Amino acid sequence: MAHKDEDKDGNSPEPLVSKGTAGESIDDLGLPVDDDVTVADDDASGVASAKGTTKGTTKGKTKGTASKGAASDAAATETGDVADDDAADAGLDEVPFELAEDNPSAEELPETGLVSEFVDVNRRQASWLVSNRESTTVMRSPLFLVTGAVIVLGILAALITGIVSASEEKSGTPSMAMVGVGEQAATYEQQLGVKITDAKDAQAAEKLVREGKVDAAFIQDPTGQAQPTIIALDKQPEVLLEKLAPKTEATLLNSPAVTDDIAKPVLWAMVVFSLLVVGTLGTALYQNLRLEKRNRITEIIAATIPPRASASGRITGMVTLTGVQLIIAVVVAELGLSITGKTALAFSMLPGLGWFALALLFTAWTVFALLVWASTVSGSKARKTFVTIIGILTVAGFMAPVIVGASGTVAKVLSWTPFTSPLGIAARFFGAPPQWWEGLVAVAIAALVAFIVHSLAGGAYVRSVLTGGGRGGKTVKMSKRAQKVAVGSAGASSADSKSDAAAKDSDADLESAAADSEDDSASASASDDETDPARATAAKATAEKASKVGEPKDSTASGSKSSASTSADDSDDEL
Amino acid sequence: MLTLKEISLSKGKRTYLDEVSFTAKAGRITAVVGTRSAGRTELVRVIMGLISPDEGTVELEDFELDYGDRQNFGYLPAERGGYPNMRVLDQIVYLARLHGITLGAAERNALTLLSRLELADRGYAPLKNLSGTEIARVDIAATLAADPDVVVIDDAFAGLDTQSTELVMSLLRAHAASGVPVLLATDNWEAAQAYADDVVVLNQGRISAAGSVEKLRGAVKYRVELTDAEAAAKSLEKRQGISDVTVLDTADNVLSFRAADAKSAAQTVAGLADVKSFESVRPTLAEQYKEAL
Repeated sequence: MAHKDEDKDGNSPEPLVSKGTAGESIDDLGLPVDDDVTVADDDASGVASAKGTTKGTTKGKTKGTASKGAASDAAATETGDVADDDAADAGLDEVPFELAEDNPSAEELPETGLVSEFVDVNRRQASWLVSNRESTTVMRSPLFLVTGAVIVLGILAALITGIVSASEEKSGTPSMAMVGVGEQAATYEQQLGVKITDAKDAQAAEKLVREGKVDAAFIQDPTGQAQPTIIALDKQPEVLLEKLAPKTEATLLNSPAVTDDIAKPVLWAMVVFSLLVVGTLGTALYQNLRLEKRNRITEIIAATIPPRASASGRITGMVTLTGVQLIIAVVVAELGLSITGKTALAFSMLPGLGWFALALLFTAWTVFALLVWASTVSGSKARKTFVTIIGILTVAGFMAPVIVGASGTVAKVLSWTPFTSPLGIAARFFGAPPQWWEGLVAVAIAALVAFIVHSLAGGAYVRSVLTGGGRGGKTVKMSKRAQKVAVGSAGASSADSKSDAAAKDSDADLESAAADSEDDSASASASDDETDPARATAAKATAEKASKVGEPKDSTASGSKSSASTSADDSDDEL
Repeated sequence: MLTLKEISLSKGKRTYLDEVSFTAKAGRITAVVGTRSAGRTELVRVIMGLISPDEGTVELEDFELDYGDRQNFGYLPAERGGYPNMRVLDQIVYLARLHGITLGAAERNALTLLSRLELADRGYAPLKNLSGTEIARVDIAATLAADPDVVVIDDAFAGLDTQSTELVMSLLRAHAASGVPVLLATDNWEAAQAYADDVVVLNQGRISAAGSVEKLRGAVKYRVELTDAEAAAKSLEKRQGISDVTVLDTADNVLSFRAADAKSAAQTVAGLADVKSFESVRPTLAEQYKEAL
C-alpha cells in the first residue's frame, strides 16, 4: 500500500518533521503567545502573520498528486518561505548551531501541518493500547477509587478492632461417635443432648470424624487406665464440649493453619473483597463496551486494529487492575498482621492468600471475558439474562466455599471448580492444609477456563463487530497481511503482470469513457489525470460499450441501473 | 486513489449495493450522496472492511485491500460519539495511536488540529462538557490526527453548524490537497455541492450518476419573463440551428432556454419583445437528482 508521503517510485522522503522539532507557529500548537515574546519591527510582524496563516496549507507538498489551487498557494508559500528564513535567521544568534539545523525547512513541512511518525503496531501492542486506556480510565473513576479505599480501610479496620476474634457457633444438635455403646446410645443421647453414633472400634470412630459424619468421637482407653479422649477433625466442637462435664479440649486430627474463629471472618472478608473488585471492574468494562457500541467507537477501532486485539485489550486491562488490587490487599493484610504482632498468623495465612490471589485473578479474567461476550449479544433482554447469569455464578461461586466449609469432599471439589476455586482453595489452606499441588491444580483449572472463555469471547466480539451491526453483509474473513504477501510473492511473476494489465485496462476504460464525453473537457478539473492515448486506443471497444451504458437517461427512470465502471470524476451518467 | 470495483452486497432478499464502481481520487473530496436507504453506510462499511461484500473489490493505488490493510485509514462512522468522560486530548491521542503513530506525533497533531478547529482551550476538558458542534469537531480531529492515507467519513456534516462546517471542510480540503482521497457520505446535497469536488449519487444501492460537481449540476439555464412566452418560444425555435439557443420550456409566461454563454443569451433576450425580467439559473445537485430520486 503506497503511503501518501511516498513519491511515484515508492520512495519515502526524509521524515517530514522529527519529534520535538516544532515547525509550526505557536498559534498552531494551540498555545497562547507568551507576553515575553516581542516583535522586532513591523516587517517581522507581517511576516509572522503570513507564516501563521499560510504555512499549514501550502507547504511541504511532497505527494505525487497535484492539488487544487496550486498557483495561488505558490504565492503564499513564497511568503511563508520568507517568514521561515527570517525566523531562522533571527534565531541563529540565540540557538546553538546544531539545534538550528534540526529545524525543518519550509519544503519539508507537511501540507496539513500534521506529523507522520509511525511505528508498526502489532496485535500485542494494539491490545496494550486498548488495555492501557481501559485501565487508566477505570483507575480515574470515582467508583474504583472508592472501592480501593473501602478494601484497604476494611482490612485495616478488621485488624484494628480484632474482628478476627469473633467465631460463629454452629447451630443444631452436635453429633458424637462412641465406641461400643450399643443400646446405651439412646440413654446417652437423652443425658447429654448429643446425637450418638455407635462405632465398632476407635478406628471406625475416627473414620466417621474424618468423613465429617460426626463432629467428634469419644474414645476410651482400652486399658481403662488413661482418661478418655475426644477427637475432632480440624476445629474444637465447642457446642459439644460444653455439654460434656467436665469440659475438656478435643484432640484435632488435622491441625488447621488458621484457627476457625479467625479463618471464617477472614474468608467472608475475602468474599466481600472479591465481589467488590470483580463487580466494580466488571461493571466498568461492560458499561464501556456498551458505550463504545452505542457511540460507534467500536467500528472506528475495528477498522484500525484487529477486533480480537481490541477485545483482549479490554480484558487484560481489567485483569491488570484486579492484580494491582489483589497485591495491595494482600500486602496490607500481611503487613498489618505483622505490625500488630501476629507474624505467626501472617505466615500461616500466606499460602491460602497466595493461592486465593492467583485463582481469583484467573476467575476475574473469566468473568471479564464473559462480560465482553455478553456485550456482543443482540437484544437487550438476552443481554440482561446473560449478565444476570454471570452475576449469579460469580456471587454464588464466591460464597459457596465459605458456607460449605473447608473439609469434606464437597469442599475439595469446590476448591477446584471454576468460580468457587478462589475462596475454596483459600478455605482449605486456612484449614488443614492440603498438598501444595492442589493449589496449583485449582489455579491451572481456573487459568484453562479463562483461556477458553477468553478465546470464545474474542470470537464473539469479532463476529459482532464485523457483521456491521446486523445490517447486512457477511463476516469479514480475517487474514494476515503476511499470508497475502507470501501468496503474492509466490505467484508474483504471473499475477503481477496480469493485475498490471487488468489495472491498465481498467484505468483505460475509465479514462476513455471520459474521453468519449464531449462535455468532459469543459468541466474537467485541473487535477484530472491525463489520458494515455495508447491505452485509450487499446480500450476503445470497451469504452464504446461503456459510453453506451452511460448514456443520459430519463430523469424519471430512478431505478435505472448504472453498471458501467464509472470514475467519480469521469462518468457522465445521469438519471 | 481509492477504487471500488463492482461492489455488490445483499442479505436475504434485500440488495444493499448493486455493482457499485467508482474512484475517489487522491487530492479531491468525493461525496457519496443519496437519500435514505441509498446504501451509503453499507458502502462506507465495505470500504472500511467492516462488511465483506458479496462481490467486488476495494483497491488503493491498484492494491486490492484485505482486512488489516486499512490501518491508516481515517474513519468516522455515522451516529458517532466519543468517550464522554475522557479528556478531549487524550481521546484524540488514543485513537490516533491505534493507527501506529508515535505518542509525540499524536500529541502534536492533536494540538495542531484542536487549534485549527478552534478548540485549543478545550483539550483538557472531558468530552461531555463540550457542545454538540464542538464534539463533532473533536470527532474530525480524532479522524485526522494520525495523518491518514485515506479519509472516509459517514454522515459527514452531522452535528456541524455553518461555521464549524467551514472549519472542518478547510481542514479536509488541506488534507485532500496533501494527496489523500477524502470520501464523504452524506444526505446533505447542498453541502456536498458546496464542498465536494466529485459526487457519486447513490440510489437504492446503485450509482445513478457520478462525476464532478460542475458536470453533474448541468449547464446554466436562462429564464425570461415576458408577455407572450409562447410566441417568443416559436420565434426562437425558428432560429434553432442558426443560433446556439435551445428552448427548454415555457410556463406561466416564462420562457426557459439554454445558450452557449451569457453574452449569447443576452443578445437573444435583447431580440425579444416585452421582456419583464431576465435571469440565469443553474440547477443545484438537489434539484437535478434529489427530487427525482
